[in-house]
Amino acid sequence: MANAHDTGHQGGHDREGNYGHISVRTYWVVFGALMALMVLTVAAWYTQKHFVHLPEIVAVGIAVSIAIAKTTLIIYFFMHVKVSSKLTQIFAVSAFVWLMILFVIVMGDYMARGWPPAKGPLSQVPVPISAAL
Amino acid sequence: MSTTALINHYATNRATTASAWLKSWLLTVDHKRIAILYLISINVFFLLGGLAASIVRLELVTPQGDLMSADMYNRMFTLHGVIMVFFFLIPGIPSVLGNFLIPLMIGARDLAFPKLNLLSWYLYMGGGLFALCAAVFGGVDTGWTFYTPFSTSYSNSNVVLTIAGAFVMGFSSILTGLNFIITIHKMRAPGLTWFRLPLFIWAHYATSLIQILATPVVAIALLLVLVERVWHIGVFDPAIGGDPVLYQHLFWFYSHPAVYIMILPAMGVISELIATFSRRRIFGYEFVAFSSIAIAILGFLVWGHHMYVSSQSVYSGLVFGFITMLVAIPSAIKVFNWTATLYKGSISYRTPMLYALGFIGLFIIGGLTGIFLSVVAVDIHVTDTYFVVAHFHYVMVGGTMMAYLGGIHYWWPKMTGRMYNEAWGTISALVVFVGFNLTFFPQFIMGYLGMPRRYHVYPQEFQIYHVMSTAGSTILGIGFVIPLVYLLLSLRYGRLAGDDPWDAPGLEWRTSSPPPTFNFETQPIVTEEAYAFQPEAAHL
Amino acid sequence: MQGFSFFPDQASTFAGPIDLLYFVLVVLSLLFAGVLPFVVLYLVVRYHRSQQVDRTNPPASDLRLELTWTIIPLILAMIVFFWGAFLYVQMRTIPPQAIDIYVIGKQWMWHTQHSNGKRENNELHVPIGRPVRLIMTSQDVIHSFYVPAFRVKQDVLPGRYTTLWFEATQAGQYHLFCAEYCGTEHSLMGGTVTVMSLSDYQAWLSTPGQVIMPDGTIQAGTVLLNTNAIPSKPTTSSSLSDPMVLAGEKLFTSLGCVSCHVMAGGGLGPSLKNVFGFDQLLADGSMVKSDENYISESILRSTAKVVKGYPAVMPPYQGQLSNDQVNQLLAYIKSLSTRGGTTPSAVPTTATGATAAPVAEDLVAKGKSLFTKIGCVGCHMDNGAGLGPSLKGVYNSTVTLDDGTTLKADETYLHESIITSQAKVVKGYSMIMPVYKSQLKADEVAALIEYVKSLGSAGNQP
Repeated sequence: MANAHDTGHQGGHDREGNYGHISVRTYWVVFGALMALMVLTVAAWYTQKHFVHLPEIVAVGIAVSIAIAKTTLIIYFFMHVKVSSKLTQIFAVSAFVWLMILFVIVMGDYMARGWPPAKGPLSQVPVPISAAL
Repeated sequence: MSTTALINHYATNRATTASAWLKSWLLTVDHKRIAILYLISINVFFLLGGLAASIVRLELVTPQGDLMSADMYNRMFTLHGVIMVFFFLIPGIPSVLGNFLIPLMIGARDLAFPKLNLLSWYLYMGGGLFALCAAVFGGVDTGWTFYTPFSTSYSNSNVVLTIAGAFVMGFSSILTGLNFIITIHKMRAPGLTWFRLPLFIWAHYATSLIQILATPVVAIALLLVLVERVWHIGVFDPAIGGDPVLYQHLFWFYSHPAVYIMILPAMGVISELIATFSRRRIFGYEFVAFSSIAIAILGFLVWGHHMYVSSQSVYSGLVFGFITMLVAIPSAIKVFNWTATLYKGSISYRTPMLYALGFIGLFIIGGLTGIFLSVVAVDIHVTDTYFVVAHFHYVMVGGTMMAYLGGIHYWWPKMTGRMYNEAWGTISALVVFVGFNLTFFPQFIMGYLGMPRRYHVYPQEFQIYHVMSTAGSTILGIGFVIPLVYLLLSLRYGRLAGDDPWDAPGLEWRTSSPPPTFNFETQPIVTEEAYAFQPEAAHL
Repeated sequence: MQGFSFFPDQASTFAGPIDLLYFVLVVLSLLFAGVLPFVVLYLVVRYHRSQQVDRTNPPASDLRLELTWTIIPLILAMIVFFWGAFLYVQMRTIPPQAIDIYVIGKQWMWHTQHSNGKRENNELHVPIGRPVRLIMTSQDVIHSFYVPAFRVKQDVLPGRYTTLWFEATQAGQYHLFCAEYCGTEHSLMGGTVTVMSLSDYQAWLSTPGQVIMPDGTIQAGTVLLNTNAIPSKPTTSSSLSDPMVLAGEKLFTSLGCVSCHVMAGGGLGPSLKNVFGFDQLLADGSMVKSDENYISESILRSTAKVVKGYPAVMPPYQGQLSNDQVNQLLAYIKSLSTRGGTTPSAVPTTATGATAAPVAEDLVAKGKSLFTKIGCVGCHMDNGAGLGPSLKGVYNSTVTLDDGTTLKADETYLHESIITSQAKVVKGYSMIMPVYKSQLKADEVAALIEYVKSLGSAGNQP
C-alpha cells in the first residue's frame, strides 16, 4: 500500500513542475506591450473615424489582429504556455483553431448570401439577385 | 480485502454522527462517491423530465387543447427539453459511469483533480436549482433552443433563470471534461499504452474534447441572450442592425457537438457490454477507437444542418450537408464492428447484453433517419416536424438511454457490491424496447405527412399516430420505473456480487466490489491487450 | 384504417421528385435496418454460450472488411447527397417568370398580398402551372411558412426578406402551417393554401374576399391587419386595394420620397431607376447587391449603407412604416428596374445610377417613362406573362373582348383602355386595371398612346 502513490503515474513525468521560469521582468514587459496594444486599438478607431476612411472589412481586420496579438501574449506568457509541455501547447493552439472554424464558416454563410444566380431556359434577362435568397 | 471484509470494515468504521455522515458524502473527493451523488441527482432530474413528457403526451391524445392552455403546454415541452438535454443526457453517462470507472479502468487512485470533480457536481446541482426555480416560478416557454428574437424580446417567462441554470451546468460539463482528459493522459498504470485502453476510455476521451471545446460557445450564446433580454444591447435585434440567425449559429455550434457528447459515451458503454457478453475482443479495435475521435472532430463542422431553412445560404447548406454525410460514416463503422464481434463469440443474454442489442437496433434506425435529414431537399420538408422529433428520440432514448441502463446494470455489482434480479432485468429491457418503438415509430410517419413539432393542437388526421405514440409512452414509462424498484431493492436483498461477477477482463474487475477508497491494494501493472479473454473459459 | 397514409398530397412540381428521393432513402434504410438486425439475431443465436460451435481463432480485425463497410456506405451517402443537392439548388433557384406574392408573418397569423393589391389572411390562393414566388418577412419573431403538400418550407425573419418558390400542380385545399415555434398560438398560426386553375385564379384576384372577424361577424371585402393576443379593436383594410406597384408609387409621393429621389437624376438622392438588382457602390468603397434586403434597409435604416456620392441625409423610416407599406414601396422600386423580375424590357434601358443626365424627351420617350413611372409595366409585361396583356404589336391589331366581340385596337381604343379601363377588357384577362381618368393629364395619355404605338403593330392575339 505504501508504494501505491509513488508509482501511480504513467508517462508524462517529463517536465512535471520543472517547466522553466519566466522572470518578473518579462511579465512587466508583456504588460507594457498589452498597454501599448490597447492604445493602438483606440488610436486605430480614432483614425478610422476622423481621418482615414477605410472599408469596414479592413477596419475590423485591424481590430481583430490587435486582439489576437493581445490574446497570444496573455496565453503564451501569463498562462505559461511558453514553458509548458508540447501537449499543453497543442491544446492551446487547437482552441484557436476551433474558434476559427466557427468564424470562418459563419462568415462564409454571410458572404454567400446571394448565390447561386438563377438561370433557366425561359430566362431572357439577368435574374434579380434577390432571387437567390 | 474481500467484499465481506470490506463491508465489515465499513460497518465498524461508520460515521458515528449524522453530520459526519453527511459531510462524508457532501464533502467527499472520492470519485466513486461523487459518481453516486450524480447517479441520484441525475435520476431525479430524469424523473422530472419524464413527468413533463407524460403531460405533453397526455395532452396530445386529442387534437384539441383540452387538458391545458397553450401557454402551459409550451412550458411543459420546454421543461422536458431543458431538463432532459442539460440535466440528464449531457452529464448522464460521463458523470455517473465515467466518474466511477475511468480511474478504475486505468489503474489510477482517483481522477487528476478530485476537488474539481466535487465542484463539478455542485455546479450541476446549482444549475439544476436555477432550472427548478424557473419551473416552480411559472416555467419558461421558449423551447430548449431559446431562439431569438422570441426569447430575447417577446417571451414573458423565466428565460433568465433557465439560462442561468444552463450556463452554470455548462461549467460542470467543462470541468468534468478537463478532468477526464488530464487523467487519461497522465495517470494510466504502467504498461497501459493508448492502444491497450478499453474503448470506454477512448469514447470518454473524445467526449471530453468536445465538452471543453464546445461548451464555452453555448455559454457565450446564452449569456448574449441574457444580456440582450435584460439590457437590450441589440446583437440579435434586427431593428437596430442585429441578426437573429447569428444566435442560431452560435447555439448550434455547441448543440450539435453536444449530441455527440450524449452518444459517444453510450457507444463506449456498448463496446464494453458487447465485449464482455460475447467474451471477445471488439473486432477492429483501432477502427472503433479512431472513429470516436473522428466523430468528435467532424461533429464540429456540421451544425448548419439544423439551419437549412433558416435563411442560411445555399452554399452553406451544401457544405454542411456534405460534411454531415461524412460524420455518419464513423458511426456506421462502429455498428458493423460490434456486429462482427459477435461472430465466434460466446454470447450470453444477460440484461446488459439485451440493452446493448436493443441499442444496436434502435441506433441503426436513428442514425439512418439522420441521413434522411441531412439530405437538404428532404430536410426542407421534414425539418421542424415530428420526423426530427422521432429521429432524435431514437438516438437519444433508443441510443443513450439504453446504453445508460445497460451500463448501470453491468456495473451495478461493482458500484454497490450487489446483484440485481436478472428476471426483472430481462422483463424491463423488453418492456422498454417495445414501448419505445410504439412511441416513436409512428412519429416518423406523422412527420413526413406534415405534422409540425411543438404543436399544442393539431389537425384531426394526425390523431391516430398521436394515440399510438401516447400508448407507447405509457409502456415506456413503466419500463423505466421497474428498474428503479428492483435496483433499489437489490441494495438490501441482492446477492453479494464479489469482485468479478461477469468474469470480465478490465482493471475495474480486479478489485473488490465496491472498491476501497484508493481503488487498488497495489498499483496494477498492465501487460496484455484490452479484452484479453481466455478462450473457452466461459461459464454459463 | 381510415385515412392512414404515408405521403401527403403531391401538389407541386417538387413533391414527386422529393417523394422519390425519400422513397429511395427508405428502401436503402430498410436494407440496412432490415438486414443488420437479422445478422445480429442470427449471430447471437448461433453463438450463444450454450452452443457447441467452432470458436477457435476469432478474427481480431480485417482491413478489407473495414474498408468495404466504410467505402460502400460512403458511396451510397454521396449518391443521395448529390441527388438531394441538385434538387435543393433547383428549389432555391427561382425561375424568372414567377408571380410575386408578398407574405408577412406575425404573431399569430399570416398576411399575404398579391401584386394587384388583393390581400388575404391565413390563406393563399395560387394558380396551377405558374411558378409562384413568395417574398416573406416577419413582423416580430421567427416564423416558418410550411406547406406540406408542396414540400416547401422557409423561415420568415424579422428585418429580412426570405423567398420561397413553388409551382402548384393540383387543384385543392392544403394545409399551411407555421413551422417555427413562435409563442402561445404557434399551433393556431395556420391556414389553407387553395390551388385553382389560372382562369379561376385571375377571376378570384379581382374580387374582394370576405373575412370572419374575431367576434364572429363576417365582413365582405376586408382583411384583418392585426391579431393581438388580446384583440381589442381589430383593424381591417380593404382586401382588394391598389396594385402594389401603384400603392407603392402613391406612398413614394405622399411620403415625399419623390422630392429627393428624382427619377431623371440630379436630385439630392439618387434616381431609383434600375437600382434594384444592380450592384451599388457605397460611400466606404464596398459594393453591395441591391436586393430586397438592401432596399428595405435603405428605407428603414437609411444611414447604414449610403451610396457613394450622396450625403447621408435621408431620414430613417424604422417604426414609421408597416411591413405592408415597405412591401409596396419595394414593389414600386422593383418595377423601376429591368431586373425587377417582372419587367423584361426589349427596349434598351436608360443610363443607371445618379449620373443619368436629364434629356429632352420626345413624346414616345415621355410615354415610356410614364409607362414605367405609373406602374403599367408591372402588369403589362412584354413577354405576355403578366396580369395584363403584352402591348407589343397591339396597336391596330384585332383584339377579342371577353364578351366575344372583336374590334381594332386603334388610338380610340387605346385611349379608352387607359381612361375607362374596365369598359372593354380583352378576353382572358381580369377586370383589374385601375381607371386613370382623373390621374393623368391629356398630354400624358397622349404620350402613353404614342409609346404603345411605338411597340409595334404586327398584330397579336392574346
